[in-house]
Amino acid sequence: MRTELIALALIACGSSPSSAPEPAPVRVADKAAPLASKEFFRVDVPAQPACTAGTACEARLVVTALGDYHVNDEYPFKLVADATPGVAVDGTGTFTPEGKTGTLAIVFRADKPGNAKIAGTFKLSVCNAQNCQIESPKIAFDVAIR
Amino acid sequence: MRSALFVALTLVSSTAFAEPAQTPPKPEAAPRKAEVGKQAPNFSLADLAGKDVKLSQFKGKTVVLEWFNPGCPYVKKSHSVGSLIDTAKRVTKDGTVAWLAINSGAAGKQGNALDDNTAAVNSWSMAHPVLRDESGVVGKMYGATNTPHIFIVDKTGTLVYAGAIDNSPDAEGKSAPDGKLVNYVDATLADLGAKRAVKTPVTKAYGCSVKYAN
Repeated sequence: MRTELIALALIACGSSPSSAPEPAPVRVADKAAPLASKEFFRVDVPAQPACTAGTACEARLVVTALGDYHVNDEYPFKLVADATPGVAVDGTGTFTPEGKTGTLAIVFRADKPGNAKIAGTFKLSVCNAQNCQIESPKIAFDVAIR
Repeated sequence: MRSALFVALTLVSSTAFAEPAQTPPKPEAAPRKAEVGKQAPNFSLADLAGKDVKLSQFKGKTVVLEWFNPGCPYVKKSHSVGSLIDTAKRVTKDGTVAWLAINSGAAGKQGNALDDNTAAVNSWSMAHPVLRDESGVVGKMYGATNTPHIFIVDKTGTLVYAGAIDNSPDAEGKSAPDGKLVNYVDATLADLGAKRAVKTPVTKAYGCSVKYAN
């Protein structure tokens, strides 16, 4: 009975019964994975500017239109930020479109050093010759605070 | 001579609240373009039930024209959370204002299907007619470029406003400058009600492009 349980546990861990148990693999975030995406857009977080706790800092989000879509430069891109303890975010920011991409720079202030989590709803729009799409993906990312 | 000239001019001009001239227009003549401050061109379009509706039948009322496409995300936002959610019902309640939605989408284009329009009317509890302008003649005559795109004709038949429904281009009423939402239909009707000049007669419309055939 005990042997069977050990065998089941080993199988559940994905290990061969004949090999020694290995530590669970650490899931490494794929840096190329977008924060949010659909067939006509993706949202990415580029390298962020340095930020010091207690000061106004800038965080950037990049939206890329895919396929025959382009960034809708008439739409008020913004991040409607979720309330996060210790982090104040003004998600209105400044949006700079450049053809198929656009960068939203938002201002935030983190109380303490460490990782500040910025989360919320990214309001964006992309268009092609026929249609415009308005999307509101939920996104979240961390910014290192000194 | 003066009387004859007056009669001739009256017959030739086609205005919002005048029936079409007796003399048929020359085939090659382009329709008169709508222009703020001038008489709005008349039109006749069928509603979703096939019944003809003429602008001229609303003589004596202020008429709001809303370019419409039920498949456009901006129209969806405006009618479900933005400024169009209740404006039509509110301003037409006392009977002095009529509201006409016009769909200038060509056959096969987004939002053209009769079923889609009927579903939108039900979903958004629209009490006003949706007129079908598949040829796009009326849309182009008014210079409608977007959905939504609003035009307001006063009770004398003069076009007094052309532009956006509001100053919040997210269509949700949440992106107005300084957080001060201006509903341009309300603002225009307030000016007309107070018998003063319309303060903002033209604004830039936002939204989807009108899905004309070409």
